[in-house]
Amino acid sequence: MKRKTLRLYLLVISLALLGTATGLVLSAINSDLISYFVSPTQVTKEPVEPGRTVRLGGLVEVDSVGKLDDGATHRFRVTDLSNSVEVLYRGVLPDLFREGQGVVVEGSFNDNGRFVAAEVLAKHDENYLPAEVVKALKESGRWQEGAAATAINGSEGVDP
Amino acid sequence: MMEETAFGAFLAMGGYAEFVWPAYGVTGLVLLAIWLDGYRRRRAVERALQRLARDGSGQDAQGRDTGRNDA
Amino acid sequence: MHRFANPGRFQRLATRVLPWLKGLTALSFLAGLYLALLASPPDYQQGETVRIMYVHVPAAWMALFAYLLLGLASASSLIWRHPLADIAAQALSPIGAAFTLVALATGSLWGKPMWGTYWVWDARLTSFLLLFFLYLGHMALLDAFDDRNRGRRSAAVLALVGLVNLPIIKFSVDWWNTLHQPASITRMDGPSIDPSMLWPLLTMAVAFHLFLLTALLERMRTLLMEARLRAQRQARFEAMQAEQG
Repeated sequence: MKRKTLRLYLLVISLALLGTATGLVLSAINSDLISYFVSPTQVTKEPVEPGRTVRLGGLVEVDSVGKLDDGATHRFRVTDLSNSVEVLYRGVLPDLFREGQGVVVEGSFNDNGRFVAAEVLAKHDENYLPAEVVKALKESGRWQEGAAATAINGSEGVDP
Repeated sequence: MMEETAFGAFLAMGGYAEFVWPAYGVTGLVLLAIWLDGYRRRRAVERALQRLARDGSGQDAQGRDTGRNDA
Repeated sequence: MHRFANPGRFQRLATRVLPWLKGLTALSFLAGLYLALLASPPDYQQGETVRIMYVHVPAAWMALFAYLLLGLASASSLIWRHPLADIAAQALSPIGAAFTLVALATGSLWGKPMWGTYWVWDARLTSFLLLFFLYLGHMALLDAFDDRNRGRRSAAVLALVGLVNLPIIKFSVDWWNTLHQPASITRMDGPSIDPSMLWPLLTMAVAFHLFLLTALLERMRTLLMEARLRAQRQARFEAMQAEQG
């Protein structure tokens, strides 16, 4: 065999081995370690003990956004359309924070089972549309809410 | 108010000027820097090659390599 | 293909093509900037910040594309020991690092107003930061040895090992929960971007491709000339020694 051909085979084999090894490692370690947040369903199935810091991701439930009586604490529910968790947050919400939009909250559960967030991050979806188009669609009644769900569910999205 | 003119509104970027303009600025600066660096290196090596063809040294008075950093 | 792989022929071809490429790059940047800043609408959710996408996304694409080219050049350098492949690899890493830096910086400036943070350690952002370090590592390794060939070989091996990071970057948003949103263009059911925003993005992408090509050819030409300068100096030095001896 020519030396060049040998080097080619050697390189292809080592790259294939490296790729396989990386793939095995990535699929073997718990994907929760790499994932940036957990879903409301996950924390409902396996409750997180109060006080432990977690990130919770989902959609801001429609008609759930309000404030506590102190007038400074935001209250809303984060949902993955199967389960939802009530979140309390004192602070400034990001510009993209909206009902029906994706959100990631970092904080911990208190003893009453409510999630107290120290940080609220908005997650935006992969849909880009001009504001005028959306306005026209809404006026003609053809606009469908919930497109943002794809942002949370990724490839298993519920996009029609 | 700035936003009263069309140009003012363009500059204001709907209140996001402090993010949109730096994003374009940093893109322009980094691309310009990488291009300028390549251009300066080419000019330097061209000059060194010419010098070498002329007097056969290819080095400046201090004997430094002019192939790279000669601006 | 092999005809262009001859360094002398490459040199002549690059010299002839480069002025045209520079003009085209400038023109497409002008068109891209016009579409991105003036002739496109604000987004229904993100408002004017969507304009950051028109530089952020092409820069990220070029950062990945340059790394793919770096991997190919490194492979052919190791297998066929072709001088042009070495030179291409050496020219690619600073350009790729620049694009990665642009993607990271503009992404940060986009993240602050939309997400509420400049940076998070999610899978997409972290793997992209790793890409930046791979480029820097490649540049450092090339200069790390007195023996040029050893530097080239170790840099090529690093570049090839780093190739596994490319699919991780691409699919991180599908495999794991990330703050970064999934792909909008390369979707099974077609892009989820309105045409009025897709066109500025594609025009900018053309401009960024042309810039990559122009900068690459310019740098490769310079590196070839530097090699010729070294060879000529060496020849002259040896001639002088022969005279004295």
